[in-house]
Amino acid sequence: MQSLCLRRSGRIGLAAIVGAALAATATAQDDLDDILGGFEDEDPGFEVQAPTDGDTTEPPTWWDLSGSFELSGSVNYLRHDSATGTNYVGLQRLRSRLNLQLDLDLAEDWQARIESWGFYDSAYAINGRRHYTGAVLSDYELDAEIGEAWIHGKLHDALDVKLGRQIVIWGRSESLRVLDVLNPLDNREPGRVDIEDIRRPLGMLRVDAYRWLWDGEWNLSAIAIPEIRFSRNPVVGSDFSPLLMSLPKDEPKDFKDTEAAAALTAIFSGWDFSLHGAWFWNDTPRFHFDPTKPDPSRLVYDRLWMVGAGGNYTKGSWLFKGEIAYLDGFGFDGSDDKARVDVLIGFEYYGLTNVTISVEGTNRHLFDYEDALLGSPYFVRQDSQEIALRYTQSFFNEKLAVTGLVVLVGWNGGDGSIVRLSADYELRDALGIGAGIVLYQKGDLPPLNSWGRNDRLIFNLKWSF
Amino acid sequence: MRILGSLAVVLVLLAGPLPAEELTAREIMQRVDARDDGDYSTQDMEMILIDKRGNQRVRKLRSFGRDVGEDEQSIIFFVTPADVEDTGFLTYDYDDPERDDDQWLYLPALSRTKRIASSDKSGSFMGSDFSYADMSDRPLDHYEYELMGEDEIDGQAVWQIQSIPITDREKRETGYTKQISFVRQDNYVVVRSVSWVKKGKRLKYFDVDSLEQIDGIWVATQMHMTTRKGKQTLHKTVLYARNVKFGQDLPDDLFSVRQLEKGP
Repeated sequence: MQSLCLRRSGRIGLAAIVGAALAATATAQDDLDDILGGFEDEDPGFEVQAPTDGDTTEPPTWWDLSGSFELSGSVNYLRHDSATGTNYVGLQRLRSRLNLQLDLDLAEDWQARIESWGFYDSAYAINGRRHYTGAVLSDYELDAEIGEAWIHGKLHDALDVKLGRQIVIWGRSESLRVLDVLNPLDNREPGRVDIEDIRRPLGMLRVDAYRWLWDGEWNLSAIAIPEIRFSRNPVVGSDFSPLLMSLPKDEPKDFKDTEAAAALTAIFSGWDFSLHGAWFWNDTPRFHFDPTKPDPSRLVYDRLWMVGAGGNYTKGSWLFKGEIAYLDGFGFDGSDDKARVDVLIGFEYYGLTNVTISVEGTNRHLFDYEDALLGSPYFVRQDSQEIALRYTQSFFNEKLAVTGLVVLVGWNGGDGSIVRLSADYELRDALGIGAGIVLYQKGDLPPLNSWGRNDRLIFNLKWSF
Repeated sequence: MRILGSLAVVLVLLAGPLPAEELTAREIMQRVDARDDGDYSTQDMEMILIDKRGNQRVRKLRSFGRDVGEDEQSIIFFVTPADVEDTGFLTYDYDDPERDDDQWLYLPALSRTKRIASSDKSGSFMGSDFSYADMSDRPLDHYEYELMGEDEIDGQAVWQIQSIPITDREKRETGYTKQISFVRQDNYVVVRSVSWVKKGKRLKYFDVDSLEQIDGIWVATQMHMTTRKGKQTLHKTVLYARNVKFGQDLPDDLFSVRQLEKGP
């Protein structure tokens, strides 16, 4: 009986399996037919834009005017008083910025560009201009500058020349700077490390020689920089300045102060390297006491030598990067000039769809260190570190991009940190909006000890044309 | 000629119709892969990106391509929209599936060239429904093929072929678990396909809308890719190819980082 039942149940089971298999096959075929039927179900319910007629992607003329208009703002949600007593809570920035760029095709292989920008920040008028120092109003309320302005051409098949105000980026790092020493930065608002227009172009003469050798693209670059400009830092009375008063600066201005630089770059399949040398002015000034002058407390700039190297290596979804630089000529009152070695290592990971992860770390080691340097007026450690972590991900076919950035000064952020979370959304072609939050953690040493309680919400609207 | 040729839809040198010939699925795909997709090419591309609400964005690009032995090199520049104008993308696509491609991206807003590690090709190509994998050649040996039958599309006889990646690397890099392609029997052009996307259980429908012969080479001058989940259309890209030319006098150093930074 039991066996009969077993046999019966076995037959029933077999029939059930065969039936289920047939049903599954039929279902799978139905599913496949359903899927392939998707080609016939293509009516979008709206009119698809027709393509542009003709060869419209060619520039219509020998000139091209482009640019952007941007409205950006920030709101500080913590009460924060600057060193001079200005209360920065509430609306901190409401800036209208216009950027214009004219590109010219002068002749075959010869181009020119002139770019300019200007902004007006109405936050100061809204909040009351009387609350701010003259330096803040001068630097932050209304500003304009000629940006890049150059002529670029081919002297020979393997020789290019570029003359004028321009930007030269050395090195591989995204967020931290080791080899990238030539162009000064606009540091007035810390945390903008990956923002366009952060670099200040300089007047240069650059000659590049190119050659294909050993299956690699080689480039030898020689640069002379007669225009000396320095980084723009937070001014007295601003939210990121620890100073109560500004000090006079001794800036090099003569033609003999011209900077010189050279680089050799080789790009191969899967890896590349570069060698760099520069004789340049340190963009960050240092304190100097000169009793022979009426204002003995001054800021001066050191002339530095640098030799360095950098490289990339890719494997699968990983990109590894490294930079090293030896710099000599850092001055300190009452002490001999000192040298420093800066090392950067990092990686980028592209293995997640539409995601990029970047991690970089630097250590800067000062030789012949003296303990007194940790105190006023230099506040310099023998070894100082920075770590930058960045996460970017795009959504909705690159309509939305989300970025997370963490910069730690000191291994554990003890000397300060910045955290920025932001999202940018493309409303339509060339029109985008963005919003985010920036958190600042103050450090133990000046000037980063003034970063605290500067957290802010940020937003922007940008139209490019 | 990377872009359209690599879409597996564009160019085929006519070997003559072979309706009576009995071919296996793999032999058909070998002929698709072996087709002449031209060399030293230039073209203007226009992509219309359409979201599920019908909002449309337009990307115009200028591209150049050439073959170096079995490898392919291409350089693409954005022409519009204005915020990405002159952004450039240089690719060396190696035939050897074990060798990573080389890719560089030039960002004019930052005046910066970035090397990119390119192993993962499942990401969106310039915001479109095409992925980088769609724009690259697929290694034949990394797939198992099955001839599912024959059909007719727009009056043309086609083979229906299923391709399943058999290596983890291929699955990982393309993000696809399966693909069914419709190959025209007269010219070996893939005129239609549906791909199963692992992430999000989505389907991608590819269709050629216009096929032309240029300099004796078949070119898809209009096509679209639609991404769907179930019955819902998530996004669609219409791609137009204009001014397609082959055998152009392109200098060797066009496919270089030097040119990438100079612009088109």
